[in-house]
Amino acid sequence: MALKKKYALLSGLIIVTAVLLLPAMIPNLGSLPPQPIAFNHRLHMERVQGIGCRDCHQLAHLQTYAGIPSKFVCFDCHNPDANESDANADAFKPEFGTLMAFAKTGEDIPWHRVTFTPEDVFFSHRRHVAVAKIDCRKCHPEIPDRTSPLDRGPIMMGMNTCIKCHEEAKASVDCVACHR
Amino acid sequence: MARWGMVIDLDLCTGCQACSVACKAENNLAVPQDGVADNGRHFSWLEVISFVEGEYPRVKMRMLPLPCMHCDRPPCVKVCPVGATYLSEEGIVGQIYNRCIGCRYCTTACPYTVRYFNWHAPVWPEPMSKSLNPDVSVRPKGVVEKCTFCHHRLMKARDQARFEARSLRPGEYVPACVEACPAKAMWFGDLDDPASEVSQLASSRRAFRLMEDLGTEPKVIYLQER
Repeated sequence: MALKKKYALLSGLIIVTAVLLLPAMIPNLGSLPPQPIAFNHRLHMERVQGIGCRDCHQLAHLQTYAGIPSKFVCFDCHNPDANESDANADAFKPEFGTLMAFAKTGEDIPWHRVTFTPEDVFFSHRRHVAVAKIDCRKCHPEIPDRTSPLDRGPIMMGMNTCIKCHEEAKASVDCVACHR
Repeated sequence: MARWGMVIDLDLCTGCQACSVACKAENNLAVPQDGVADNGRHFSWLEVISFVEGEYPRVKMRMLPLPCMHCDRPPCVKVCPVGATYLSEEGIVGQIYNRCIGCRYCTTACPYTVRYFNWHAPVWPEPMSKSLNPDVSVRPKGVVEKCTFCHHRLMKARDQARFEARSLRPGEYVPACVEACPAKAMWFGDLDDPASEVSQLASSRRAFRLMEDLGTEPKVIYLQER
């Protein structure tokens, strides 16, 4: 009986350690340090008429990477010369101050990149967004509803997800199309 | 479906090795470190091999640019135990680096010796390490690599064609070596298209393939007056 208890305790310990270590082992699973600005995707989608993903992620239809917006993309709408007492300044809150602090420094906003494609995979945003005309939500369904920035990479992406869609859309499933 | 192939005119080739240099730059081939060449472990996906023909005083220097032949019956594919190399529908022999276990059966099986094993982790001198081609992966130590006919260029050209809602034009997809050849001694195109330059040159009187008797059916065709 004592032996059984010992085994149960030991296996329990192993499971707990594995669960604790799992985020460290899988890069896209572990949470990252908080983003410099608590960006609210949903607020922007709701408040700004006609805004789309491309308005900020400006390289999605041109390059392999979608692009993390620089502070100047924010300044296109959030006037850095505006005063907090301005009538429309409340739209800038509560992160207005943080953004304005970056306006005064020479540095850009140090966003943390949260999604990484594996080294052996070639993924082109342009190929999917501009050429195949796939909606961003197809792969990033959770983003329009996010009220806080992503602190980890989306874990839904795997080769099965890619292949399923490629087969449905009759896109290439040739190995070298993605692995090179 | 296209069947991509290359034609190299040995009578026009000057042996300048521009193709080899273009290939290295395009495909992120590392710069060999000290001692690597001494061990015979440096490589280039497209090597220009030189050999002397005839006996003095009637000698002739011959140059032979040697990329992967992309055989229609590739011996390398047959021996790979993990399916890391395969013949694609378009006749390109692909290499999937993360599947490769580095057993080097393929380098032994290839009669043209155009498969290369990465003995060392790739290293570039400082300014060069920042100018790698983002379309091509950097292969790790311990895998076999080879010429891909610049397959990433095909993907890019096809993207552009699809973006403009048209089909791929001939000459839109050419590998870096063909593009770089200053003597215009190399052609690239669809061997199954009877109108293409390569298929017409391939049936010329001067055309031959390397080690044709092996039955590997290479898709790199050489032209030379014999």
